[in-house]
Amino acid sequence: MPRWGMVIDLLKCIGCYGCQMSCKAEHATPPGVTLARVEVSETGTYPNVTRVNLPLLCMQCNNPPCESVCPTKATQQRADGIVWVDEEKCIGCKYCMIACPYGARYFVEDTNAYFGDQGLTPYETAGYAHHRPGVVQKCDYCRHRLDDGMAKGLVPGVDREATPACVINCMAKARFFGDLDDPTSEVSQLVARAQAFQLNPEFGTDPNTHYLPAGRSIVPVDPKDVTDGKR
Amino acid sequence: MRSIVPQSVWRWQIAAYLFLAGAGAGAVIVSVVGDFLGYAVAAKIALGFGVPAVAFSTLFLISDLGHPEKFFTAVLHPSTSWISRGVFILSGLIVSGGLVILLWVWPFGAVLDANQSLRAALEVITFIFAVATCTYTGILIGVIISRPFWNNPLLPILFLVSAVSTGIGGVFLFAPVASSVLGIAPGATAEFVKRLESADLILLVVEALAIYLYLALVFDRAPEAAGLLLKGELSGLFWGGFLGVGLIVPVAIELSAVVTHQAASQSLATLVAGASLLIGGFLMRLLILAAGIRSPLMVRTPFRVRPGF
Repeated sequence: MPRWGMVIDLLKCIGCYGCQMSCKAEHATPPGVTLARVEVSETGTYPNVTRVNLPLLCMQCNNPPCESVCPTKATQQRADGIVWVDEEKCIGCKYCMIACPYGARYFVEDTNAYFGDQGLTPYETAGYAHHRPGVVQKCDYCRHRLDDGMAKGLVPGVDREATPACVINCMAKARFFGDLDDPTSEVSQLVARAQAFQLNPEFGTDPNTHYLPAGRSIVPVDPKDVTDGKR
Repeated sequence: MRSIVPQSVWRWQIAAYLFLAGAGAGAVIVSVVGDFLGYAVAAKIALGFGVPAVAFSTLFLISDLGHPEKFFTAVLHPSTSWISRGVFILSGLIVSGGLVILLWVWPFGAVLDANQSLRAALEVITFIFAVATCTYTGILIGVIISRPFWNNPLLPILFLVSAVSTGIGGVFLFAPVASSVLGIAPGATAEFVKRLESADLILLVVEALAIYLYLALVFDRAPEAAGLLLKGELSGLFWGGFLGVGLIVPVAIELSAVVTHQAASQSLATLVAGASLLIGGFLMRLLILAAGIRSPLMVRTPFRVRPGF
């Protein structure tokens, strides 16, 4: 069984919001819901300042705090590590939104139109059929793309059709996707780098989404550095 | 730079639940202790306010759900979820407290009077559920490690002290009404209300101390949240509303009542004290909820910008 993971290279990310838009296009999410998003901030003191583009999505934690707080077991973790919400079971108590350290969850009150009085566009009508109002939504690594792709014999992270939308649409190629349990996969080799990090590891969530820092020299992955795929 | 905005996932509906369930459970605690001390009539009045208040408070919880019609499925994960555990605690208090009330009512009234050990057992069970109702909410939000303003062992204690205090406030307001409706002589509750005033004075001092310790503890761990509360968007409600109306006003009224030994139960001042206690209790929960913002996400950047570049 694979364990899906993502690596986001902050050095390559140019803050174009392409992941955010491709996610909205893939899932037809209502206004205010950005399952993938980019948070931009500035850091440092003049004149030593920099802009940090932080692309965010569900970290697909190995110890998901959203799962343990869910009172109805609507939030579940698959054997491949993907954390998802069974919308039939969710009662919309929003405790998971309180518990998620990464702000990766959204409560969909109702599916509003983007264009107000003009009503839903044909695209919205088709897309909103998948959204149940009154439940909490989250990124699930585009599990429909992974599952459908693998059913056709494709490899997630390698074949576009079986890879999350935000990854294949990243024009800077800053996002990598693959099996963290396979030490030869691209993501495993990137995670094996000493500089790779998880967001706020002190929360004990052990995310499957990893980052490479923005400030570093560009060094190609040396296979000698890769031992068993784990750091 | 973006300004820090308050927590907005759980809003006033949850604060109203926390407040009303706390006040109701606090009144139940007051009732059981009062009955133990021999104030049987007054204890019934406190219980008559407390149990319905707790039952009513759950409506706020249910109305905040995205799918209120399926609220009963919230019991499915008691092994780890404090919402599931809370449903059991609330149900326990409503059932056991409701049973005590039911056994007062004719023709069951004789049952409890004839069987004092049954009465004591029921009251102890109700008392335990009431304490659990006041404290579990502090654990519910206190276990969220990524919200350091709540992640604090003092929170359940603070909620418990405030719950008993707001329960007393509820009794202050409810006692005159209950006396006139049930035809109880006002003098029957006057002594109880007077004792409650001095007890609440102690509780308020403890609460002020707990608030101070709480803020001292979170000041380093959650500087953004503390700033939001003490000098940011929430500061007006905190200083003027919670500390001013909710703490200083009742302390002043109760202090003067205790000092002057006046029979304060019939006075307007007791009603004002009760109202300000309830306002303060609601504001405290609203403010604590709103200040529970997430820790900032830390991007590890060994970033070096060339000086002057």
